[in-house]
Amino acid sequence: MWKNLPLSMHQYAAGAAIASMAAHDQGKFWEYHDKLFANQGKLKKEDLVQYARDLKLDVKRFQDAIDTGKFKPAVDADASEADKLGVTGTPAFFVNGHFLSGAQPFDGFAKAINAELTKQGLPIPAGAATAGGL
Amino acid sequence: MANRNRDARDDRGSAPPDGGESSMAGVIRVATLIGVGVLVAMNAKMITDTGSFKQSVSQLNERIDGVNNRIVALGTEMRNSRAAAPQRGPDPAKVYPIKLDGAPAEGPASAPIVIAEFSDFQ
Repeated sequence: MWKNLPLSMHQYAAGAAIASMAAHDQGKFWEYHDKLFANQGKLKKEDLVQYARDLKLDVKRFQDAIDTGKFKPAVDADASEADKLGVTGTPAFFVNGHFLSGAQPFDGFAKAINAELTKQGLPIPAGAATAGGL
Repeated sequence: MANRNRDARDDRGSAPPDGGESSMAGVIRVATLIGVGVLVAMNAKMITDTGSFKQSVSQLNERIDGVNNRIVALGTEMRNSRAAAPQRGPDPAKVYPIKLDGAPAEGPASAPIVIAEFSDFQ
């Protein structure tokens, strides 16, 4: 699940976050997300619109959403939720509500996920445990 | 009479020089005593001064040691707080409710594991 936390020090992050929600509105959040991650140096408005065009989104609807700031409240809500949780940097992960800070190695996720599965009495999938060295 | 007078005059005449010499000697003796006394006092003061000087130096050394220790302690504190910086924020031991409504997500809503990522694109 994706939560937007555009950092104020990142000039284009807020616009990109709003654009990603405009893509989400058309059911293509993750495709758009991948586009943005592949082009992190090019996040100006014309770039954002071009990626929408590349993904064959309804460009007019997409652009209207950006121009009217239609999804700014949604992005702001995510950011204020992060603020309330005490999250100040990105990325920040919560595995079933358990906080994992920063860019985590695979082990960090494996441990947290396996702990949650065990807690719910679910089996840990074969192969999942070995990578974490558990 | 005249003789006696002269004697008396002589006595008068010779007496003052005698009295002057003895009082001069007395003055010199007293002055010497005072001088010696002052020297003794100065010496004593120098000894105590040296003592208190040594004391001041050792006190200064102690203070310098104290300042040094404080600097080392501050350095350690700074390193520790920098190392602890990623630990700030949410408590990893707690479970936080994360709102799911409307957030882009993959996988079934009933999944046993929900991973929420707060991130940005830049």
